[in-house]
Amino acid sequence: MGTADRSSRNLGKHVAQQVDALVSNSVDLASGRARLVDAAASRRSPRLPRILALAAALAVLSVVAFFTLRPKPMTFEIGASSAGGVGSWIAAPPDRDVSVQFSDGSRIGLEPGARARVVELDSRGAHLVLERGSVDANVVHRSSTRWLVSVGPYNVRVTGTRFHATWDPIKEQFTLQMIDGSVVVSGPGVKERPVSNGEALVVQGTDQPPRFLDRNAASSASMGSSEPPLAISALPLAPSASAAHEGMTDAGAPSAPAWNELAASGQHREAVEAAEREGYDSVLASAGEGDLMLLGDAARFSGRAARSIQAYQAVRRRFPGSERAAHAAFLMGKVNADLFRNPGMAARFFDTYLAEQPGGAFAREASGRLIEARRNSGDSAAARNAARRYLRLYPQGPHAALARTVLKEGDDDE
Amino acid sequence: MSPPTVNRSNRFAHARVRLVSSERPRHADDSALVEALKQGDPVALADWYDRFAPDVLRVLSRILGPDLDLADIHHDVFVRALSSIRTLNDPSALRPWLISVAVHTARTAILRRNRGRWLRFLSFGLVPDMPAPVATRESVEAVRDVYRVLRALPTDDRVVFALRFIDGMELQEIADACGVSLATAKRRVARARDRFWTRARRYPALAEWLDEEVRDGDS
Repeated sequence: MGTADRSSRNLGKHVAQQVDALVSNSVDLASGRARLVDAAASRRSPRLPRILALAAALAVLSVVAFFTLRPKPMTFEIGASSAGGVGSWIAAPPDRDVSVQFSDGSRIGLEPGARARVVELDSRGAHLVLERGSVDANVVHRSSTRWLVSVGPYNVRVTGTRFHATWDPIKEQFTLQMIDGSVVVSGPGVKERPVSNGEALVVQGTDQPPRFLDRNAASSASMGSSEPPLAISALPLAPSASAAHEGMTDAGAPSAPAWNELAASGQHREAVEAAEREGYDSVLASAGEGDLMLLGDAARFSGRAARSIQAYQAVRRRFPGSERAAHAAFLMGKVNADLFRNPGMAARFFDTYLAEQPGGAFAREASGRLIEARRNSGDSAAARNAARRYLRLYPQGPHAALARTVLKEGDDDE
Repeated sequence: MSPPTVNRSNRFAHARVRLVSSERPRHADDSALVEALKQGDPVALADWYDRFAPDVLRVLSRILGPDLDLADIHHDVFVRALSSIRTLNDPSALRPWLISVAVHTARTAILRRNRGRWLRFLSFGLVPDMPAPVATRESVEAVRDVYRVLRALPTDDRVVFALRFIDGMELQEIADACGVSLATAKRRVARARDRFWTRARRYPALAEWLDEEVRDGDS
């Protein structure tokens, strides 16, 4: 008998006793029998075939109506004359803008280095995903206009407006400056918040609270002009370490060490080095939950993947079950995917996040990243499962096109 | 692989007694029972449920752990089985066939839970009727950690580990229940066991269950 077998059997016996004790008190088999008999009786209903026939007839009518009456979807062109396709990349070279012109008259300008995708088009609008960089959007207003711009974990719902948006996926920094009209923004820390003409939204990391600047603050931050885009560097700096993480450190913890201040002010590499000088292990053992996340982020932003994993792991080890512990799992997934290029491990962390926070702020992104990770790790069956799940939960989400592609690949393979 | 310890003597026995003693089964043998079920006989349905409900509950609970949706999943097993009872050609295989439906339903439930839809793992801290003799904090922690580790394993590994080591099934039974060959069942059990302990070592409440040789790396 193997020792691992013996350990497993002994533990299993213990678990069986405990589970039986719990379950015997929580499941009423007599009620279950009555429920089954009721269910069986309803299954024998003679009206079912008639209902099915009616449903089938309605379905056929709906399909016919859909194909004959539906309005034509919009089209778009990239640059001067190149027809755009749903799902394909639109990348602006480092030295010039690229303009995307839609058939309804709307225009999206990608600034140098920006990357985006049009993931959905219909007769009323488009769904654009900004992967990185800045866009200048001018959406034509009509009564039924329905445009969506996804920027990282944020959604900007548009009905007709001009705005400028910037997304840095590494630093998770998002800025939105309204030039004309209004939009509705939702995402981590923002629940369906309107942003109007002249206002701006600034996010200095998705685990930081978003800041809304009114007309005066936004225009002074953008140096007085309503036209030029608001640069992240022109915005007020992130709050000081103590303000940015107010309430995040444990009560009674020692005052913030230097690495904390460096990290909060955006000096990521210096922050990690300062923590190392202080003794990285002792920092991991003593820092509060919010500070550990800050350290993990600083290490991640400065490319110190192993150090970031250490910090996030410390959060999970020392604060199990917390929302930040789940967030740490999500970020470890990103580090594994983006820095370690280990999609298999990334998938496990995205899975962990989704198991712990199925409705969490990053659930949609984790679900999408899970498809990528599963696909990149060569596990096509799991990728298809992740894709199906994604489409059920987020049919309009930024990874919906990828999910459909993955499912189509599966069909082609079969 | 060594023979398993059969953990079948369980607390559901009282449920079996309560159910079957309330009314004498009218379909004593499996052939008559299956035939009556195919005919839609409601008495047979109740007999069938009374005979097998405790076994099904035991298998489900050991795969899934204590779970708020256990009663619903248990119900699903019988509804699924009933809808495909006509495909059962060998009435003597009624019990293993039903267990395989239970295993399949549990597996589906795990996959759905992984999609974050429905499962809310029962908080052990909120369980009101935990019997006192076994409800020490350490023992509850060990059970909770076991299912934590199992949740992190691939679904097939989780299922076979629970069937083999928690339920104490024979390898051939596992093979039948999972619809795989004996060789595949053996491979899966060994793989699941190794993966389980690789993760379980990190949990203090589980590490103490490891034999010394395993702790030293002989897993």
